[in-house]
Amino acid sequence: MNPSDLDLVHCYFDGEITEAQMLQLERSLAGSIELRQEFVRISILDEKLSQQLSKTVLAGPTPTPTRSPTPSQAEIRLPKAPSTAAPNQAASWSSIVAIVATLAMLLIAFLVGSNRNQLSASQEIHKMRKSLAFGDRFYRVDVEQAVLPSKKQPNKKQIEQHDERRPPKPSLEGAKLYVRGTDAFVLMRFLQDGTPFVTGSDGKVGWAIAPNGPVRVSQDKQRFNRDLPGHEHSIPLSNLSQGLTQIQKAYHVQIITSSPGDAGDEQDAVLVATKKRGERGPSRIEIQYASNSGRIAQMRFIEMPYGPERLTLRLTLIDELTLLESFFHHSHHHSSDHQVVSDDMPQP
Amino acid sequence: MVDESMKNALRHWTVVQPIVSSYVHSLVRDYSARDDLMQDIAIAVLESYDRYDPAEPFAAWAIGIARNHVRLYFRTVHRSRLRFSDAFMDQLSESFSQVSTPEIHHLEHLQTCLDQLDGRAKQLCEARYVENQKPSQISQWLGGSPNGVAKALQRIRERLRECIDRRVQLERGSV
Repeated sequence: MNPSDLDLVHCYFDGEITEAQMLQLERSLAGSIELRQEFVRISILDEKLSQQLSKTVLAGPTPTPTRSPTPSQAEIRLPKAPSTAAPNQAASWSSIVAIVATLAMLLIAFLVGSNRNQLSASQEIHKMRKSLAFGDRFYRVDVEQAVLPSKKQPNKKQIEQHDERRPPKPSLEGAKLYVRGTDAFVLMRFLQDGTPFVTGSDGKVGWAIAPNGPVRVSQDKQRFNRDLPGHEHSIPLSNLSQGLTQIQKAYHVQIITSSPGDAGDEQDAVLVATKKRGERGPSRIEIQYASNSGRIAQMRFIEMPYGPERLTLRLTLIDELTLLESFFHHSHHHSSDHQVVSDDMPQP
Repeated sequence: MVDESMKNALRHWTVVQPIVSSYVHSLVRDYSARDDLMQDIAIAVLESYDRYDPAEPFAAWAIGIARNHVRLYFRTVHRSRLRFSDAFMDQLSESFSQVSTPEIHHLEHLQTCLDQLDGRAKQLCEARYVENQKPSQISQWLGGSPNGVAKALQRIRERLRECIDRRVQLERGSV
């Protein structure tokens, strides 16, 4: 057995193999029973390792890292959201949610009569994008689950976003999101005592109104987008049209529709997008929509990266309406005597 | 009420499920797609059990069903170029059909062998198998080059295999 062939087998199972190497691997495997048997043995072990290690992490404490943290890791303090479950429990919930979600999808497919991939995914996405082009939308955000992955070490982006100067993000649970077009949005989150924390953009100026402190404004209209998950992975909740483009690019898409004749204006189709290996973003996205109009009723993001957390959240369309132009301007959401400071200037 | 045929189907499926699962694992690299496929395959195996010829090995029959599902998946859902050809999938299904059940049972020693790994090796395993990171991503977390991480993972798997084999030999010696 050629050692380089064996290396390729390991590369394949680690998900880092090029197209040319893949062809070479198949040729080598096809020509050698011995290598094929080795491939089978490695596959069995690789799969068992995935199962066993997930179980170990679920069942008890994981080994303590022997490597001391790098200075940057030691300096940062990641805020811990109160709703975040303990890692082990959270991982367990994650499995349950994944199973329930899969069963739910199977049930939907069974109930409405599965008609997978009969429709072109790109046509469906195009239809959805068209339906988003006009009018304003009001969504409710529900956080089904927030998980802080065990022993997950933050990457550079997370370090930048979670330095000590930034307060912990208010929970997205129960948040209200108003969206117009691709740039204008208002996100209302609520603290535990019900005090609103409002951020937004009117398409030209980004702004944030914290319960205590001045109104912060920035000429960078995207400045406060980071309060919404998804912006790091080109799936900002405030710009679903952009998110749909990213889904086409980075996800495997499957369409499940109802039987012909059932179609009304109600949501009667589900788009299920599963992230491609090596891509970033939520591991899975489910979109319930009306197949005749492309109108999206609900989007569900499973394991969506949000700072150091992984969120499973639902975005439900509550209303389609026409809001005043001024609604997307910060002044609509605070009193006239509230201090306004520019975030673009260095603060004293 | 579960009838006798269904009970037999479930008994057979329970025995060969790990082998079928490994076969699918070897072809489909997307974790969530794999889970969905395994559910579809399990349903298909149970639904078509009345067409199973008991003269044939059940594992080969079930792997045949799995192969058809995987092919369909690659044709309709995942049109990646990073996949094996249909002809090779057939060849591979034969290799997996020959895996013996005891060979799968030997993996019961895996946890003991994992416990013996040092801290760094455990970290690498956790990053690879729990966090589902590739060597290039792991190297950004834990340092080292992507190639170094890939090689380290390869050595860990080899050590685990050796450890499992040793334990199987010990077990045989003690009987």
